Amino acid sequence: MTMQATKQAARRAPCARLRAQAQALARFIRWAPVRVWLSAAVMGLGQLCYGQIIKGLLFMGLEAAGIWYFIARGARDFIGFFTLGTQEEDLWMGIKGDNSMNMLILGIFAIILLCFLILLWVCNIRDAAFTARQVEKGKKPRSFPETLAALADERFHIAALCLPLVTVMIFSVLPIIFMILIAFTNLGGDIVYPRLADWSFSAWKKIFSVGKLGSTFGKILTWNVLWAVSSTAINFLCGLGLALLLNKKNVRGSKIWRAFPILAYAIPGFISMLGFKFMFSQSGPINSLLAAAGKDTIFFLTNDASAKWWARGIGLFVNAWISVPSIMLMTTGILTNINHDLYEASSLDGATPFQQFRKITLPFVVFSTTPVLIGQFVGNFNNFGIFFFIRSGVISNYGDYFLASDTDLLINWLYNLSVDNNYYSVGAAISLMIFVITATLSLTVYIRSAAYKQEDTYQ
Amino acid sequence: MSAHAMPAKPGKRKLTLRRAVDDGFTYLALTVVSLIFLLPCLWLILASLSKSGSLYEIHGFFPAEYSLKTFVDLFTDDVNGLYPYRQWFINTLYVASMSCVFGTVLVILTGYVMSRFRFKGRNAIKNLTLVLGMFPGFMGMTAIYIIMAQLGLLNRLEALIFLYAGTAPMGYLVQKGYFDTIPATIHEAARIDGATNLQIFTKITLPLSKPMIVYTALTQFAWPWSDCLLPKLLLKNRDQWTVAVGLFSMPETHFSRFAAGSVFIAVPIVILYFCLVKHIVNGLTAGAVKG
Amino acid sequence: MKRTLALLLCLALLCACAPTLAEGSERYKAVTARFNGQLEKGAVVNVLENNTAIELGYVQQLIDAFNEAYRDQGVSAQIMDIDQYSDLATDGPYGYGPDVWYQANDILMKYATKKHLLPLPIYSLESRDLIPQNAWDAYRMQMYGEDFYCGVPINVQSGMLFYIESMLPDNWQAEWDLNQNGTPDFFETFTALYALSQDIQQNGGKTEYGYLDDLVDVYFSVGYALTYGAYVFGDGNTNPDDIGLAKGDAAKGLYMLRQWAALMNNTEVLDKTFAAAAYAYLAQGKMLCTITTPDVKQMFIRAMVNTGSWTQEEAEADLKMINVPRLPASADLTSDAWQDTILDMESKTVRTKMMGGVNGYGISAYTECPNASLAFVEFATSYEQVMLRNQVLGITPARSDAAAAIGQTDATVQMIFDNLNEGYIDVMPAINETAQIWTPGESFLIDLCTDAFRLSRGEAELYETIEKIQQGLERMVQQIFDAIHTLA
Repeated sequence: MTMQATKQAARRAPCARLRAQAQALARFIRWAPVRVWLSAAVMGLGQLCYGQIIKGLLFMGLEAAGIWYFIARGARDFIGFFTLGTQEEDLWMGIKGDNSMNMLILGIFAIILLCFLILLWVCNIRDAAFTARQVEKGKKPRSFPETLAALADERFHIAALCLPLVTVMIFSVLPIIFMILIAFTNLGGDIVYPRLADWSFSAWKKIFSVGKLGSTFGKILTWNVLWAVSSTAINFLCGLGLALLLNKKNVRGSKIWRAFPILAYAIPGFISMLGFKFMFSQSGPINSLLAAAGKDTIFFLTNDASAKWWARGIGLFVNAWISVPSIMLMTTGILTNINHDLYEASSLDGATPFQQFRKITLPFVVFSTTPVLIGQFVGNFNNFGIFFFIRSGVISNYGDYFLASDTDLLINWLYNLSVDNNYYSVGAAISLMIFVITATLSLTVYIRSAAYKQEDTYQ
Repeated sequence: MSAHAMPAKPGKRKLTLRRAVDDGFTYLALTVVSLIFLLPCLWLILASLSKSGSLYEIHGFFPAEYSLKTFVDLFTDDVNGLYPYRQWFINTLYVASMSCVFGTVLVILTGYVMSRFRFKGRNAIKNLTLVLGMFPGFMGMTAIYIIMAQLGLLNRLEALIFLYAGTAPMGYLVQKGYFDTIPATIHEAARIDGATNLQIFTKITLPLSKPMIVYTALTQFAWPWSDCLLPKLLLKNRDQWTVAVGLFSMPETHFSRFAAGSVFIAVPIVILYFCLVKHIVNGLTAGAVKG
Repeated sequence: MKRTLALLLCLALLCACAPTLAEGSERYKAVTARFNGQLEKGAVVNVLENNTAIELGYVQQLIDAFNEAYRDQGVSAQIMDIDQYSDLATDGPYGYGPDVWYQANDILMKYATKKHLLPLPIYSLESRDLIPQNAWDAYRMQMYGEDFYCGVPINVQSGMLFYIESMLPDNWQAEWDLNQNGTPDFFETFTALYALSQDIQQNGGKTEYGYLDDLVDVYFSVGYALTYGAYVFGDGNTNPDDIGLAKGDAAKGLYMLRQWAALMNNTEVLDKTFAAAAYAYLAQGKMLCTITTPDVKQMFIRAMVNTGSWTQEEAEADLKMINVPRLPASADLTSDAWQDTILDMESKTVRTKMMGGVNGYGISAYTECPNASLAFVEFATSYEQVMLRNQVLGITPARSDAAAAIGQTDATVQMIFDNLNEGYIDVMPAINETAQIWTPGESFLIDLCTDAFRLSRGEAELYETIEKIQQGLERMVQQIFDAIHTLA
């Protein structure tokens, strides 16, 4: 029903849609009875007049709370969003002042709350209008228990999504908006609390004018893409291979064999990574064993040019060690869904096991796990932990890297820039660029994938 | 759906030599893989049992002398308040289980609604979460710190619970994928019988989704259990820390303490995973097939 | 006309820039106004101390003593139970920072330059004249054209040579004491130490190595450059535009690091984590000596006790900590005969200049109780407390009276104190930009020391000549410069 309507609306040209909406609004204004207008003036007043006491009071209370908030601090926060502070704090003289970062985030919060209040106001009018229509039809206005019952039934989705939406708004959306906006300020470097920041494009100017940033970005991006592609491929192929191996009909005790990868899966990731760091360090067990055997030790994770590919390789290995088990478990489940007649038929046609793998198993698994693969790709592209844990605190001494090492991914570089060195706005600008890259890459694949197209036709 | 191996095809095993070679290679490969996964874990366990305290007193793979002293010290000797492991463990348990309860409720609700209902803004939510998921996460950490400071939640474990549970709905796709696989006809039948949406959810859908609930709860538990960046950011006092932060703060001179602490924190989660492996497979599969 | 005007302007600017003594100035009075001497009744001073000091129980003793002494005045102190590398800039404003913070001067000054630490009324402190100006300078910062001090020095940190007496070669008195001064010659010049290490590694001895150390730690290894005319920042470590690490004969000095790496022939020295291994290595007889800071003395003692061959008292008596040897004037560990460097020490060798630090207390600008905090700092830097700190932790006090008293029984303390006083300890610069030297510096040192292993592994050498080391140093300086200036 509703689905049908939205789909039709989507098909209409935007211009026609706008006109239709304007007409609907005009009709509504002509029709609206006084009590609806009362609700428009003071939230909940119309509901009160219809005798919906509790609901009316709730709306009024929310409005009062909103107004109180804006008088108490919201208005100040709202203005602060634009000024980012006017009085610099002097801690030595004991002069209290503004903190630009706090003002930015409280400003965003005030704006979000304002939007929410407007939305609530619209809901309140709609609710009053709904009741008015009910009364026009000769029905009684809904009592409060009836309203609650409606929330549990036809409005179930709203009731259920309310809380998740609010928490996601505060803890995910707000920080991301904050980050995006930081890219358009001059925060960072010398300009951090207690100095005041301002809106500015300086970060973008720096990125495009300072050659070192550009060349480092290019070098890291190349490695980052290589890393994301190869680690996703390695993890996926190893996971699938392991699942196939355990699924082989001549394997006995597959439950026991499977326990080992699950052990690795269950160990908290940072413990594994720190463990591997110790393991491959110059005094670690691997190099001790090599030395004891009279062999040259290997510069696994030290910081010179010869360690570059060792460190990168170890990164791939550690990442696989951590991720392969989950892929294995996932593909194990998917393999049970393959139609076995295909294998029967192909082996009658003389297909080798490898051909079967290439023509039947692989396409099936890849096809059905595209979204997961994309998720893995994005996750690997932004895989902060691996190189943070196994090789932090070095920057490459050759090849003109700016505050980065040759194993750093863009996200590690970002960390160096924005957390270690406080270059907040430049870091934010770069992370926006990273976002554009990953989003374009993965959305293109995702929208083309079968899983996305099937979404609404499935049920 | 279950994790059975492919059906065996009896009567096809004639070439015994080829079979033997095949068996040999299979088991060789399995052994190698198992060793790759086992050895690092074993190394850590052995290190935790070593008598001397520092990583560098262990040469090669095996420590010189074994002792359970580190495990005893872990709980009885907090080195003048520097490493109160028992308190860390209690904190971690509290954060992980509370986040698990609230996070699971929120994700299941979100996944269910996104799977079953078609409403205005649904596509917007769907696309928005997809896009949000691609932002490099820690860039928001500064903001989270300020938000928590404004809410007066700094240095409190509740901050972490809010954070883990509150952001959990972002990962609703796996749950949605599972609910998509429950045939719509069941719901329609219930609807005709006059059940409300709330009743359908609680009486019909939830009992059918036990594997997914278990899987969700497990992942919601495992993440706070092992995360170290957020607690490091938000928790200040040592006795408020979680195990991950504490372990991260230990210097190499306390390596066997680190190893013992790691082993101890890993054990519960390993046991959980082993007990619930079937549900994990189902959860991962359902979520993967229908993203 | 124009020229005179310009000259006048320059003069005026110069006068404005020249630091004046802040004592008694209006500005000084204004910024230290909060320290009015009236203890805040009921205040609890949160003290953030270093982990080793907590672990060894000193901090609890200090706090107990303070609480006992100040019970009548209604103030007390407690250990602040947060990470020793807390971020005062983010935690302070929300009340999670310490009131009093013990740290190395570079860390404290990083916060002081952004005014997160209070300037202290040092002229009224009892220790003002007892602590040498060199140590105070570690906490000096210029603001409004005047000098302010944001910390009170407690102890001096610098590289010292550690060894276990019973591990010395049996024949050292006969063979290695040419000048008959009772100190083994191989601890007097690096040339002799190199010769001994070579001898031990080739012919064996009580230990596997002579001198073994992580050569890639900037803090210790930069001494090889400082001794031969390099410096960290210009204008007495205050000008971040002038990075002097490649100046003078720095490259020649660093060539010796490469010589050491080649001799040691142990790749563990390429990893800074070696420092943690060093305790056990010394105790287990893997090496005869190593260089590190005095505050970790107890770590060696604990490692010695762990081996079971020493009791606590035996270990304390057997472990020795002395000045680092002198470096050859030729900046080459092999060009002189080691005997010549001993017998003709004045002309063949130069006194080694090490990087150092001054640890001390700072007071947070966010504190609610500046006067109680200052009282705590005064208490903790008093003669008795500094002596106790030395007893428990083995630190080298910055107070001259304490240094002199300890120096009567422990010559090394006097040595470090003299080194500081005579300028042979180059204290880490007290400016924000110091933070940028470590990572590029360490990366270069790793690259340089790795060079000793390249040829035998079939790789081309990168730093086989002084010129190439000089180029590498200049690249490193450029990296530091970029890190400081590119985005500022």
